[in-house]
Amino acid sequence: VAFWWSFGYVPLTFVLICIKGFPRDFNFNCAFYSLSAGVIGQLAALAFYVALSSGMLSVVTTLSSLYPLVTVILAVAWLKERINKRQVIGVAFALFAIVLFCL
Amino acid sequence: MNTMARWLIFSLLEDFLWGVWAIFFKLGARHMSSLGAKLWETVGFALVILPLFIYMEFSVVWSGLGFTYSILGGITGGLGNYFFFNAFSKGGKASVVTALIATSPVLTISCAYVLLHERISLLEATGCLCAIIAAVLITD
Repeated sequence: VAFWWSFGYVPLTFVLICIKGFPRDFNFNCAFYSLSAGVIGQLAALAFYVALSSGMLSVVTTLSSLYPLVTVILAVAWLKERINKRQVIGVAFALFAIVLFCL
Repeated sequence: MNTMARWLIFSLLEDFLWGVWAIFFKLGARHMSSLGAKLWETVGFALVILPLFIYMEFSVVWSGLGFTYSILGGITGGLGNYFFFNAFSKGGKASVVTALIATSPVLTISCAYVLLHERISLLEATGCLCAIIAAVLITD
């Protein structure tokens, strides 16, 4: 599945380039981060397929939608971004949801 | 490892990886267009899938239906990803765009119920509701 999924994903970028034109802007650091994002994203997609092979689509997809929780934690720790009360409540909801799925 | 633990562990692993992915993509898209960042992201995708394919000794199990659904999954996933970052470059507020996308499991749950006839327990339904509320609140 991962292979054929990529077979749809990768050529799409080239179709978009054909429509919008080749992006002329280049920045080494940004390219490195984007490339790393691709590697991590593909590994995430593989983990998603393994989870889907034994879990229900509705539950696995909903649990997967909690990924902003990790982004918020990393944004605070790494990018020194600040979070508001609303997001703190969201983190509590996310942790409660994970506990419910574990029961 | 029992079946339930397996899907749960891999779902949480996926959460972690997508969480890191978002940080890297944000850093990558800082001084590049969304298409430029997507081009390099696609190279990263290929860097993982090609060694995996070589490791599998080019033996991909063929299934017409599996092929069709996987290709469609790749195209819709790729388009969704592109529109997500395009929404930001068109001036969309990060809080509004991400909150809207965070509600996408509602559509998936509805489709899984109607098309795949999946039935979830009350506990799982409560978990899904909490997860959707959490995703909307976190992506403020």
